[in-house]
Amino acid sequence: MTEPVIEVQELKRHFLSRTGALSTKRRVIEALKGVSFQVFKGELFGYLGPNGAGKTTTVKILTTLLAPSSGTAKVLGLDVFSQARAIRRRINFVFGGERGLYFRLSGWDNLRYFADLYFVPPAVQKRRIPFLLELVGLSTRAQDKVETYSRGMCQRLHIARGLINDPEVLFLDEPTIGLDPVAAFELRQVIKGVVKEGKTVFLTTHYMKEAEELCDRIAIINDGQIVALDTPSNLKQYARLVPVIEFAVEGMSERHLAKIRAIPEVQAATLDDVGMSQVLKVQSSRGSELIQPLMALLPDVRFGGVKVREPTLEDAYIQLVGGKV
Amino acid sequence: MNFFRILIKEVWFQITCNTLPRRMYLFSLLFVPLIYSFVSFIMFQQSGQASFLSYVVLGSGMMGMWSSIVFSSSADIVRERENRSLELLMATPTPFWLIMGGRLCTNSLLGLLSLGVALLIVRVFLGQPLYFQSPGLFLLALIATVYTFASLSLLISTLFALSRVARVLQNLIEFPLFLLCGMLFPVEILPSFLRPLSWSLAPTWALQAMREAMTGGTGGFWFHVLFTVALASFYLGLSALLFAKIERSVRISGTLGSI
Amino acid sequence: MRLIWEEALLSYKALFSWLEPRAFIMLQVIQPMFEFTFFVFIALFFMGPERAQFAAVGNAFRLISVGSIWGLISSFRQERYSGTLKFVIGTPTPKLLVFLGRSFMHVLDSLFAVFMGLIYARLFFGVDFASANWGGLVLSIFSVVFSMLSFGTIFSALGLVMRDVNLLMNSVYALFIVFCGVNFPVSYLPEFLRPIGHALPLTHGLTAARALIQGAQISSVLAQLGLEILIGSIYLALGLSLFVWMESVSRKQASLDLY
Repeated sequence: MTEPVIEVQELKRHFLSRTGALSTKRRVIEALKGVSFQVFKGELFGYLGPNGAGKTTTVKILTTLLAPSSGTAKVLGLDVFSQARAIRRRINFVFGGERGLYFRLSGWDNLRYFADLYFVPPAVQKRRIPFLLELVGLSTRAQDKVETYSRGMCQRLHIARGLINDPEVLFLDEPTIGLDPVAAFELRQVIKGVVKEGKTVFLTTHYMKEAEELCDRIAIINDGQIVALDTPSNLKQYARLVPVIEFAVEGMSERHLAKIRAIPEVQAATLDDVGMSQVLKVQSSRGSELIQPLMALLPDVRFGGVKVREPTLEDAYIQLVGGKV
Repeated sequence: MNFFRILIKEVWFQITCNTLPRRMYLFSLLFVPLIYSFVSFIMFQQSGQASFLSYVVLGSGMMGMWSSIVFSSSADIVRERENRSLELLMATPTPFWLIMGGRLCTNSLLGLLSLGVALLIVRVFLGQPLYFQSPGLFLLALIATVYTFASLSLLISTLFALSRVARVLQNLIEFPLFLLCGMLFPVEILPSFLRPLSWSLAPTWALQAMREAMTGGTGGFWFHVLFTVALASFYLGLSALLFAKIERSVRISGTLGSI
Repeated sequence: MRLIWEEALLSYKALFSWLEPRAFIMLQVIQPMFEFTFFVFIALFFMGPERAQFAAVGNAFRLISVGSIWGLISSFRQERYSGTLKFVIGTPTPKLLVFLGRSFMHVLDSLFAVFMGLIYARLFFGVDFASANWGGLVLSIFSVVFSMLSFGTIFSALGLVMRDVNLLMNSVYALFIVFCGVNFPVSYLPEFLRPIGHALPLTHGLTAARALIQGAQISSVLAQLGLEILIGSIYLALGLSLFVWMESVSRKQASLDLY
């Protein structure tokens, strides 16, 4: 068994927050409640979870930006707290969003600036910067100031910045957030390319499709704890035995949803708004047997089409995260 | 190996991003000495004391320098945080103090332009003769002054980064320093209870030294220079401690400036 | 009338919601006080105690500009950012009434500032009010407040479309420091610069005020007061037309990003 590139054991992290501007009352927020996992070389490891689950906190700890409250975290065999400097040379990270670049500098200058801070020798920079710009498709706009870039372009520049020191491990925190579908697709192709070169990628996301498409293994995190860790196909197994019924409905509310969840044979139920109507998904081992009783239970709800289908990773996720998404 | 390269990089960065493109900065750097050299000159003409010209020149020059520093460097770290690039900088293997230090020093060096403006105005536009009693000593005092302002701006920027309360004071530190450091008048004319405050500020001594080098004053020159360097080094030491605290603050409590 | 009162209340609430009391005090009281003190000491050093008192009164009046000009610009920009400007302009109410109501708070603000300033001048710099003509003094204060506010309308209009208002503000402040006889009489300026001072608000009102503090009769300063009010009226007309013009341009071309 090869040495893990990332190794996390019983990682905990809490934050102190003060309630109110003047009061000294403090609240302890437990962002991570004891997380453990390993990531191996060349893997594209996914970290999936709803907002506030602890994904960004984990990434910040692994990239040496945040100290653990307890537990251990090692990257490339080095401790994230005490050996931070050594780690920083060999990793890099990308956070989602537009900020974090220097508006008044051009794309090229931004890359040059960070290259220097990462001790990339000038000779190497001469080769690498054009290469990276080509990779992310920004060659033609490289000399323009970043303040003229669109959001998608900023994101792409961030990826180039993330690769500027040719890191062994790349951390990506929700990299496609806020991007239109085309830009997101292109970004995913870039990520796949990076992994092909033998780098290890740690990706956090709350888009299930993305995780399914890209990742070798996925850890599902909710409320500071890992609830599942496996390959995408194995994760789907959790929900395999449980078919999903999809109803198109109108006029349904939380009250109705609660009634459905109260039924013992129902494993999970969610309600989504799609345009003018809603989609109710119910996971139950009883499958299609439940259709009639459910409709009878909710006389004041209008039911449209019904279909029963095989569960997807999204359904597994919903179930694992408890149907409260 | 990379030390000087990083330093030069930061100078370039500061000039390109944080200073010259910002019009308010240019105002502080160039306009402030213009205004104040003019105003103080008019008042100087009433005094009939030729030696007071040193106040006009040095005072307005230093006012420009300090003004530009307050406007720019004092908020450098805070600005990085708002730009969300603070974390990116901290995550690089380059030491954080080196990155910010290079930028903060740049402002002090640029501040010399203010002095240049003041000299230009007084010598050329107002047609006043300017004698430097001891040019060599003046140069020395000038270097000490740049050092002083650099260390003071370092200290202030770290304080602003660490404390939200301190940040509110950004607008307020400009004039008190003009007043207490005796830029356009000697600190002796201030009420005596303010003098300890004046003396604890390194620029006060730097200005004294420069004036003496210019007008050949009381012979306390070396004392003043040494005192200013000592005080400035003390500020520097404090800043170093605070820099460490900033990094710890970000990594351990996860926030900056929560005081 | 009711509308004006409501506008006043609204701007009162607005003023206090975005400037929490602490920051308000800082900006409106402490910062100008430091500037005030600074200038008086410069005057003291270069020109002696009598001129120091001259400067003290001058700076007390200069404090009016903080509320009248900066305050006015800020509240209009605030309007723009909160998007309410288009609704206000879109109503059938005459703009003048809206404006009057809005200015009310700034009038109070300025009055507060100048009275504080005069008290400060009395307490710390010994300006003698024993024989002052209070009625006349109050009149002069109101005339300056009026002309300052009027001057401010021009910049409020400009401030709505400019990016760098800070720069504009500081330039205006510079004007007052140099040309209006605040720190030294206008006669100290070279001849070709004096007309600038005479065309600006504050200058004439200040001359009148100084005389009134010495105990002059209102009749003797009537000319100065009259000039102050005249200048104010001209600026008011200019400012309001600027607003009207901007409104029509933006409606026709949608080029000014006003709404």
